[in-house]
Amino acid sequence: MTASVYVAITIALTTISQLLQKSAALRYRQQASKNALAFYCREPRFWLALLGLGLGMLTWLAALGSIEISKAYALLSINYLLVPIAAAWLFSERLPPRGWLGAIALCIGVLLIGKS
Amino acid sequence: MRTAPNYQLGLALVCCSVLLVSAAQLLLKNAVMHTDGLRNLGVIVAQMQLKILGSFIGGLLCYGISMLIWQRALGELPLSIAYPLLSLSYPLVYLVALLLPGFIETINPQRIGGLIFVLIGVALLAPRKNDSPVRSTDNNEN
Repeated sequence: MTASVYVAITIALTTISQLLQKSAALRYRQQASKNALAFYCREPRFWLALLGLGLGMLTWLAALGSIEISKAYALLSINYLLVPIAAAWLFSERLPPRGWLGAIALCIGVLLIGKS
Repeated sequence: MRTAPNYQLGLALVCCSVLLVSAAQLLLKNAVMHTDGLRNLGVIVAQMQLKILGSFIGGLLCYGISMLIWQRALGELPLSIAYPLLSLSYPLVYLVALLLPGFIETINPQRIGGLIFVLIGVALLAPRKNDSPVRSTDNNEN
């Protein structure tokens, strides 16, 4: 039970970190400076994303300590659908139908890899 | 307004990121195999076992650099395309683990099936040359 909670937190943290990174990248494109490093050093979303990734790694390790790896991977494969859905919602990105089919294939693939 | 997003550059950056993440996974796996799941990492540090320490630190370094390259990639590609492409590291890590001695990966039909699904997914997701640019709040081409 607690292991599933750890996996759920991991999924949430990695998805949020990706969205924060994308949001930081959009901000970078909107400003004039071409110095990426200087921009991201001053961009709180970038640092929050870094924090989220670090925490996500810890909760992932905690999950792996008390759940079968195959189960953990199966749950984590949800990310491949969750991230495009969130990106469509928040950033108005539009995947073609072919792209959604691809994301579903990836989910199945990662699930199978985890189960083997 | 900056120049329009460059898909080719974005895909190249994603590939670099995937290569680095895969290297990081292999290096960390190597370190974990020699430290009983990092449990005796303290002993390894105390004894200055450079091969294992190098593998561990190198793995973390690869992760860090890949994260920076990833950040740049997201400036050129929609997240909904870039993120799923990260799963390319599964077949890559598997292939290298098969070829390298010591990782003892046996061939497993179900895993091969999974890898084929991943490759099909990536092929479907990769943007085509004549694709209309994916619409995004700021990715307006003009």
